[in-house]
Amino acid sequence: MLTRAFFAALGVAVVVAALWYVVAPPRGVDGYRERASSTAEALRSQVQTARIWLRTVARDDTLLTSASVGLWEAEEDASAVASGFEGYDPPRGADELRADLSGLADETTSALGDLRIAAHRGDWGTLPRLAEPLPRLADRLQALARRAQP
Amino acid sequence: MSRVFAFTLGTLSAIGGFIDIGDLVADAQVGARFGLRLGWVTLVSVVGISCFAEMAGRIAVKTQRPAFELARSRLGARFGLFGLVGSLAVTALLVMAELSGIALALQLATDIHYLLWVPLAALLVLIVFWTLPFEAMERIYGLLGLTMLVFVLAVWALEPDWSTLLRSAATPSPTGPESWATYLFFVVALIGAQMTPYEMFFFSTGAVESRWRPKDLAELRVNVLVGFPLGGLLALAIQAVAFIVFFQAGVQVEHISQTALPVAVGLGKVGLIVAIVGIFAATFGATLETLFATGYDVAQYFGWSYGKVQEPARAARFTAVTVGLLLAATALALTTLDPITVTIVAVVFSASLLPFLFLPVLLVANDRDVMGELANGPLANVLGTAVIAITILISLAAFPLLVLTRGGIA
Repeated sequence: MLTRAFFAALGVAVVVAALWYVVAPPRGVDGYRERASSTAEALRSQVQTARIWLRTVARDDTLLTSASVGLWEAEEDASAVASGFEGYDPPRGADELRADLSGLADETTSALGDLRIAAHRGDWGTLPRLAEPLPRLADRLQALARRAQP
Repeated sequence: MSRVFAFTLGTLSAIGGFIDIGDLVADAQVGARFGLRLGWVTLVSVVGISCFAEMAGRIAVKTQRPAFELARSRLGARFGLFGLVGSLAVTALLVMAELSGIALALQLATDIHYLLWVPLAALLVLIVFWTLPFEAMERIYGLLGLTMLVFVLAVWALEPDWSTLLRSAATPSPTGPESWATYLFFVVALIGAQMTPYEMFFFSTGAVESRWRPKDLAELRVNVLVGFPLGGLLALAIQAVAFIVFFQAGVQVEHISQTALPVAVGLGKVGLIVAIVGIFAATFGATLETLFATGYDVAQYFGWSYGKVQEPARAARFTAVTVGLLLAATALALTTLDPITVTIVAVVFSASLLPFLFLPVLLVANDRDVMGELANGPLANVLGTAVIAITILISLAAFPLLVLTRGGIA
């Protein structure tokens, strides 16, 4: 009976420890840099997704409803990943990295937000102009992701 | 003519069973991150699910009892309860995810938030469940599910470099920035998405409900041997189009809309509409299958009457369990829990349950006292044992990999 209770408690402890590991903030400079790199990659992914949706809009290859959903999701995911990273305390020596990534994240969510608003308003004609910063943003995010790697 | 039609329907059901929200998400994620480097996993899954669906169907044909009912009578109530609770938990999560998949398809078509569609999707599922006979349900979602072939057409339309695709398929290792742990995590996720236990529950009990007899064995085998490989082809096509459109761009797939996007790039607006219909049909069919599978599973364990051939009132407890699960899944979906995350967790846990669900089927299908001349031959035994060995490894690795890679993010 005691053995069964012991193993049950051990099982619960393993599950709790595992869940903590999954959601735990990064530990140390290397952990923080790794999380910064994956955040930059995730932001770049949203920018690239938006660019592909915009390409299909420009060629009249998509339903506008679907493109609108795609642009909204891109902005929502970018905001979520950016705020998740900004919630971590940077270790000493990583303040500059945090500032760089936060700045880029703000630019990204702002650009994607503009696209989402234009799509919801039906201002499809303004999208090419609003999309102009995206290629450069993608390049800068990729460069930061590489630079941040531990 | 009616036999040809029945064969077509069974085949389409098998395709529908193979491609559900788990596949739509996992295949696109894998294609975008690894190209076709995990294509071999789909081949293993097709062989595995075909092997065990054929065994489960053969048991049902011979004994007129579903495979799991027999398996439980052999391995005892405690083992049966373990399998029941495990598969119930996973399938309940999948019902929520599939229901959300219907709503997400409707969101893509209308730009109305999917949470507003969830109750309507549940109501539609309930109406279909309550009013349509079993075969009509198979026909409708089976035929609509055929629209998923648009992903195969999109591969050609995207004019890929075929040598790159072949090279990717022939390289069973992670791409540059990815770790082996992440690669192996997606092996588990794909196996879990493609070899879902509910496909077998559904196929087995469906054979009993359709009153298949030993003379129908050839039809059953053709359904399995054509339907599941076609499902595998669709899965590979989803991986391929995601690879072609997303890999170089560095896109990480997190939404159903991204699964459909490559079809719009390759085939334009019409292709996208067909893909949305296909996603709707696949998730709608899978919602019905997961609901039925759960109802069958619970009813068979407790010895209740069950099935669609009876009026709902004549199988009141089966109906209550199924409708209760639909309501619970609807409530869970409305909590705004991310359906894609739920799907990934569900398919990983589903993968870890596979050996517990496959082993009893292998034992019964190999029992000459029960199966007589329809018992397993050497090929079925060798394949079945090999598949179980693989699923044991998958089962042991699933949870550590889920944690280590933080759900495939690391």
